[in-house]
Amino acid sequence: MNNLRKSAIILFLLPCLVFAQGSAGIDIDRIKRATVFIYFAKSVNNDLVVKCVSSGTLISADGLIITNAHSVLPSRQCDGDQIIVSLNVDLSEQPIPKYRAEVFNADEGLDIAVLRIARELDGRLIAAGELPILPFVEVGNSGEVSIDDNLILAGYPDFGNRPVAITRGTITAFIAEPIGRGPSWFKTRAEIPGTMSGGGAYSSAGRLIGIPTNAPLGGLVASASCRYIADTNKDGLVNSSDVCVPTGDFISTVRPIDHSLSLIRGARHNLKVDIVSNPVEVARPLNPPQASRFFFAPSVADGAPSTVVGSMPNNTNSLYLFFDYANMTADTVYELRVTRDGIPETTFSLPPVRWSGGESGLWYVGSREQSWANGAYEFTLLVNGTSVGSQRIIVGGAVENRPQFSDIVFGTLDQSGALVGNGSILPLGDIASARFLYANMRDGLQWLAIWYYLGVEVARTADVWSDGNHGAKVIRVAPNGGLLPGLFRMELYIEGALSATSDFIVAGRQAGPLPEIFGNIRHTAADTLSAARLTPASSTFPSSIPALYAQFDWRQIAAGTPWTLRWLVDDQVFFQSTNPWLTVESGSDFTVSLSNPPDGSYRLQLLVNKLKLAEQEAVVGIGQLPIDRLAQFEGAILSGKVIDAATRRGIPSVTIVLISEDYAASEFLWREDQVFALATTDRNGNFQFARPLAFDTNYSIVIEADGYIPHAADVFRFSADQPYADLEIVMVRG
Amino acid sequence: MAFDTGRSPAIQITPRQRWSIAITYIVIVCGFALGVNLQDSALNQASRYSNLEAGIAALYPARWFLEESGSYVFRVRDMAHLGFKTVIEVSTSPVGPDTTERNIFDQLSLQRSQVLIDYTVLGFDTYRLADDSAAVSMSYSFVSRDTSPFLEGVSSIVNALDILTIRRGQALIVSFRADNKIYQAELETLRWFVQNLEF
Amino acid sequence: MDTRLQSDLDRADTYAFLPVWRRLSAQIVITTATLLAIVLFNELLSPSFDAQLERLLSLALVPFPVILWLFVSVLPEYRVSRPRRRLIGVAVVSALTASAIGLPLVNDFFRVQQWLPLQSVFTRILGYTLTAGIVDAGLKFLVLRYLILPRGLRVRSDAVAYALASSIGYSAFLNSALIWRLEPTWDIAAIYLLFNITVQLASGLFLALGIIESYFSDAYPLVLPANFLVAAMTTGITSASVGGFLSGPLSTAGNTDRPLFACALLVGSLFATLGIVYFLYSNAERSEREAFASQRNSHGI
Repeated sequence: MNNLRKSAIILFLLPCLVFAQGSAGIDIDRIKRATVFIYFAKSVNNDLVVKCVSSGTLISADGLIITNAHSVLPSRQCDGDQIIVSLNVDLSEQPIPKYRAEVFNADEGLDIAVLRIARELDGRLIAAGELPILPFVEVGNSGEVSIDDNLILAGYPDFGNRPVAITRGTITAFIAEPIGRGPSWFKTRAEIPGTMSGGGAYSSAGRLIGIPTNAPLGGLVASASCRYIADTNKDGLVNSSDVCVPTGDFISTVRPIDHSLSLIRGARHNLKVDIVSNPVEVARPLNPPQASRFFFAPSVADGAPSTVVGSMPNNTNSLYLFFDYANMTADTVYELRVTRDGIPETTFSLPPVRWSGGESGLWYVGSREQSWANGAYEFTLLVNGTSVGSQRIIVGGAVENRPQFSDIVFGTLDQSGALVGNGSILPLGDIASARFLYANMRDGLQWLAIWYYLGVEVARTADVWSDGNHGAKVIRVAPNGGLLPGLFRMELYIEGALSATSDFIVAGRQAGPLPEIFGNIRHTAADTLSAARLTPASSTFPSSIPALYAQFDWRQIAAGTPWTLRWLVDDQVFFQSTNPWLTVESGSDFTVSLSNPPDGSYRLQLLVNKLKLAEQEAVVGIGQLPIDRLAQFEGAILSGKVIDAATRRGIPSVTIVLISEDYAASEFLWREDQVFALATTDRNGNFQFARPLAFDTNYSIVIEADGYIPHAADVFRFSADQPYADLEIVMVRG
Repeated sequence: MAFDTGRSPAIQITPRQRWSIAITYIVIVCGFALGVNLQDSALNQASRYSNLEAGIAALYPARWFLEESGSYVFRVRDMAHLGFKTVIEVSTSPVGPDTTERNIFDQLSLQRSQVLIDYTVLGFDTYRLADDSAAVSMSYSFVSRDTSPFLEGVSSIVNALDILTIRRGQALIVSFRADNKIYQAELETLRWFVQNLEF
Repeated sequence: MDTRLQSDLDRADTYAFLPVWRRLSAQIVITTATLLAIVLFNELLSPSFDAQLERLLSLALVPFPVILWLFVSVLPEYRVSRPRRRLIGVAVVSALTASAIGLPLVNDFFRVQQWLPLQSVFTRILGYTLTAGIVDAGLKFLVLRYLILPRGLRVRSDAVAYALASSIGYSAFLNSALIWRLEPTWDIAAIYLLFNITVQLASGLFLALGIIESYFSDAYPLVLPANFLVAAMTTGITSASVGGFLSGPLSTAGNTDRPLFACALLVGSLFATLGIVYFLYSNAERSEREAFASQRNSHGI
């Protein structure tokens, strides 16, 4: 059996190596080993009932897993409370449940969660340092990929009944939404089963660049696909009375990994941020989600449509659908179906995915740098499986020189009459100004500007155009009572048709180009919040502080205004959260904390509308993150079997000592600091060093086992063209 | 091929022959004694550990693996043993004026019950240290399993003994763990270790 | 061999005893050839046996040297006028001694498996000499001392024949215990057999030489203990070396065992011991014969 298993591994390995040669050194074996299968289960009367399944990927040797949030966070679709991680013990067999994990941090909207293996399968805690080194993959840069690049997708194609699967495809489109930089989604035509959601998408260099993602509609609509896999109600039958585990449809979207880098970084350094001052969680909206005011724009500028169009000419390669939304939540599943001349257009459609835009606002979804074939497109938006609106647009024909407004920016006028400001945030005052471009206008055309505050019209300017064909125009508004804190919107119409629209935020007081909303950021180190408030602020702290607290004051920011808290360590973001402002308009001592921060330079940044309004740095210890020796990714995997020369059978519990490059076997004094890694044989005599050996580096091996002649050998050296070594070590009884 | 020739030896053996046999017996006894001595010295080869910061010095069996990077002052493991690697671990813990040995043992038990399989406290006793002072000991058992998820691990029943003494405002805990099958035999190593422990 | 110096009576007396060396050589040659053939067969053809069959084949090897000895050395004794009647008794008692004392002492008291393999080469040689060597040689000596000496020792070759019997009995038990406990593969079982036979026979031959020198030449009292020490050391050197010969060096490609190396060492040791002991035996015999002849000449016989 064991030989069979070994043969199977070798047989599997060979094509992998062949593939690797043709794929710029992709380590398929490693990708497979790092791919885990995840059960999200609920404890019911001492039983675990599976609620959801998904795939995941190990991204660190100490058990960090990245996967979809929807399958590991409790929700209406999936109300589990235990995350069971199955590992790929044998590449040719099904995964085996081994551990329990906990969500370290997650972004429900982005549908990304970083898990940490925390317990054995039986629920015992894994003591610090006791988790064996696990195989993991290297996280790549999803910003470097292009359309038509190859993708390798890894995950479990079934409910744990089949071994890990590798699917190959190409990136067919980038889908953009107003979240972060770069594309929000990669589209692919690869056939990816729904249970591979949460797995890994790899570049042709073998680096993790995305997470295949879809959101099963199980629990939301009756027709959603799901499977009954266990007798959860203990009636002796597995039927529709039992819990149905949602499977999700075939996946065609991949969430680029760049959106999860801050989550990963935070988890790697065990950085847990707590927004202490946030009031208790606001009740989720009870009203059904809504979407309205659908319109198209050819491009996006700072999250706003450049202009509004009703049709697009030939050779269109950029198009965005905009709409207002309300009552959305992070577990809302939305979907965009696009048809061209009545035929589904999968390239630009977005299958069911989690909502990442917060409760309300202006949203867009679209793509650029891709050719839109001529035709009549219909965009239908579905929320939780139900259509909430649609909009049509014709692509084709000659370029029309229609009158249009575009590129609205907001600010205030200086004494010379020039518009100053940052374009999207204004301080409190009396007058707001907006500048926009116009083209193909004709004198005598009717145009209209409407200003809204918190969704209510506060001003309207209707006039006959008299400013010529092309140029820029500035208009002003002075609402009654002045510019109050909150969200404003302006819409521009030509001959009764919407031509441009944009939003801006009013908050804080005038202080240069940026309003002053946040200030007096200070850091303290303390055990508790109360102690932190009494401790004098500092910018340097010793190592091993229990928690780093940051406090700041704020002024004139309206409830509901989206603001962003970003925390960086050594200039890299490890926490970023955009939420509506939930507390009073002005105040002091808003507190956030970071527990057990390792040495490093921590910088807190506060943003509104992606504009950095305040920041402050604190240095802990030496001001630099410690080096993670286990983070080494590249190297040779050394495994093998120790056998008894007499019986040709494996010897269990033999420890193989791999001595670091600084020492020879003869210099080995059985001290931990001389050791690169240890491995112990299992009951069949098999062993594996989970930590990869650096290429072109000399190692030594020492094996001592009671009753056997010891082995000591120097110059174990592996080059990049020999990424695997499978040793058979024969031990002779002494 | 030689012929078998010669005379039959006398039935009464000569004094030389008697001496030969006697000396051979002596050689056997001496060889045996030297063998025992060699075995004893080989099994009791020691290495020295000292930690000035913690104020601890100890002798431990040579060729045992010394580690200092965990949540202990140091620990040594018999890596050549097939099965659970016998381990002696020395750790310290701060104590308050009201802390008793039992408080510390209970705290250890609470922690261990979270991470060890089938952790069971077997009993408490006193243990004589090298200076003839009395320390408190707690014996317990658990099941050890090789943790690598990719291999078919070997499980072992482990017997263990904690020896605890409170001195100079801190508790010193010597933890000894060995496979159930060799626990009694290995206790001698623990006794030797404790006899040579300076703190 | 020149026999002209011997009288008719001597000649008759000589032929009354079964010659030993030829039969000892035959025993060694057949045993080593058979075991080497098994090792070679496995090395060259790498046959794959069912585990049960392999175990049976290994166990079947255990009685082979004993049966061979019975046919080559024991049964012919009953065709001569003055047979060595205690051969089987010596072999059986040696086997029982190995079972009751030898193996428990080495394995359980000295626990050599636990600490000796991890020592340096010198310590291993010394260790095996002072433990397994002293125990094995000591027990065989005691068996010979109390079952044979001095009445059973009529001619020099008696010592060799009884030492062979003791070695065969002692090694037979060690072989059976080893193969029963370890369940080695067929070829390794053959090597183990060769090892035990080599070690026991080599130490037995040196013991026999010491007894001969002591009882027939009335040598100095230190000769017997010196031979005893050499016998123990033979065990020590062979035991300490065979593992190293069998175990191939470890490299990036792993390692393999080297049965042929081990066999070469064992066969070499065995024949070297045989040659040395035979040389010393012949010299002693020749000296005595010459002394006997000159004595007869001086008496004018």
